[in-house]
Amino acid sequence: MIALKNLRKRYQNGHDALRGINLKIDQGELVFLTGHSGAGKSTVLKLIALLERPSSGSVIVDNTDLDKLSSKQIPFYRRKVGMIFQNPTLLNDRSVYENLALPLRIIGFAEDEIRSRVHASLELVGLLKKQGQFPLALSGGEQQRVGIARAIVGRPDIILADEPTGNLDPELSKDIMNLFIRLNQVGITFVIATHDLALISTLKYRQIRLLDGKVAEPLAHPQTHTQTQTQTTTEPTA
Amino acid sequence: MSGSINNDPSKHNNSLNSEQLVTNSNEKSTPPNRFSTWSNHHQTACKNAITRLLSAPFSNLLTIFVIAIALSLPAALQVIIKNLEAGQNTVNEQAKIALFLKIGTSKEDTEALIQQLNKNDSLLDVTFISADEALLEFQQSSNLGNTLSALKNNPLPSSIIVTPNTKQLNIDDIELLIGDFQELEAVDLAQIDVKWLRKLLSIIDLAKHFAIGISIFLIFSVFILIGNTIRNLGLSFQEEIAVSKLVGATDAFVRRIFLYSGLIYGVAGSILGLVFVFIAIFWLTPKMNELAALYSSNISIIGPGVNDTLSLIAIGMILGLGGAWVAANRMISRLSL
Repeated sequence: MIALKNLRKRYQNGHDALRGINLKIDQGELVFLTGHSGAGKSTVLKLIALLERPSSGSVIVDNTDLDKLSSKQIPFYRRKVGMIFQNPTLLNDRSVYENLALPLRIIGFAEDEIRSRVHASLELVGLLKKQGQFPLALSGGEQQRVGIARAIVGRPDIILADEPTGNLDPELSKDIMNLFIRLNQVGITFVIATHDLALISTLKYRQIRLLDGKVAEPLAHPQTHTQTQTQTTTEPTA
Repeated sequence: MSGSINNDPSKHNNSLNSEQLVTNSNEKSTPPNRFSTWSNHHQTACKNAITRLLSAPFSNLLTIFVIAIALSLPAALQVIIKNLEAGQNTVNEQAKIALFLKIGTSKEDTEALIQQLNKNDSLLDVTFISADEALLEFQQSSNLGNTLSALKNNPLPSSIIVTPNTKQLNIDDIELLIGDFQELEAVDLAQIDVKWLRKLLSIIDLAKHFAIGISIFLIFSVFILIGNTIRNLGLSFQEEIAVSKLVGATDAFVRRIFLYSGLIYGVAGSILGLVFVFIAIFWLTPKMNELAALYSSNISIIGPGVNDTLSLIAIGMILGLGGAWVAANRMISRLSL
């Protein structure tokens, strides 16, 4: 379970990206963070991924306050969190296979296990035949799918996706979204930041709209596949 | 991967073999044990460091060359000091104290004095030269044979030549020893050219200090050079570091590859530096032999021994690791991921 408690973030330039967010995301849930550019979607994901630290408030994941994690514990936390970006951060001098093997090598798996997992992940995103190619030889959509495969290859508990379909055509965006849903159905928690309302408008997953660093409205679709009570609240105004 | 989106989250898909293979947390394989992880990480880091160095062979060889020059100079100075010390020992070994006895010292008193000196542990050798022997030697060496024969009495005193143990005694001890000898009843004059020895020791001491100063400066330069090289290496792999950290790499994992790179620079630089020193010795030896022959000496250049060789490689390793450690830590802290 992910809980954001009175979360605030002010960047060094004085911009208040988040202005008090209270939010709960259940284990195994898939939620969409929506809102205009600068609403705070990416900041929320960065705070959950510990790429940024909150100015105040707390992020609690599986009953652990992330602020209390020591710098030595952070890498081990990140291994439970897969991250997908609008521009997949792939290593262009390494093959698709090597890009996917990197997180597994970091964990320390043997080559047999790495091969098996990389193949399974690539098969899932439909790129098994391109494992020997380099990222720059792939199309944008394929690169994005490699990014997704890399995010899932370590079997994370949570996947955070920041505008994962931002650079893709509508058909490919649907494919990617379908893939997320299929992965969610086997238990991975998804937090997806997107402004592609047309893409998600037909989906019966919870949408959390952010507006100027605050949650703008409660649940758009309260029904989730986990069938658990979820809460989305704005910070009480003083 | 095409078709419409499954938009009903309440429907679980029961035939997700690939997904389960990839994601089912209940079926996570046994995590690798710590030793095999550690071992795998080191193997990977070492392999990657070598691959990266080989990817830019010319610039890396140039860096190793510069490190080698910087390390060979302290090594060469060390060789010079070693040779000067060897020379000093030769001079010290030749340091003999002449005890000129008072004219008229009886044979019994002389023998008693020789016995007393023989019991002194700080003396290696005690040789008695009678007045007659001294005169004979002087006649032979001075070409004043006829003149000296004309003298009615032998003006030269008997003397005792003692060789101090210079491994036990330094120059100050020798001076004290001479003072003690001077106090002896039968001794008229105790003499050694201490001033000359002292000057030589001062020059050697100055050379040692100079060599240490230069060595520290050059070693520090190597440290900076390796650190800067690693920093540049890190800048060109910043993206990889960032990605590695994003997917859960620890600082130690990121740092390891740079440590191996630094280690390779340090070890390769020190080995090449030693090669330079040996080449210099090989080149200078015939000239040194020619010089030694002019002085009827068999002095030869003493090269770096096993200990010196291993020490220089160890210094290279420490500098490589140290420089890389500092540079890598600065990079990692700057990324703050």
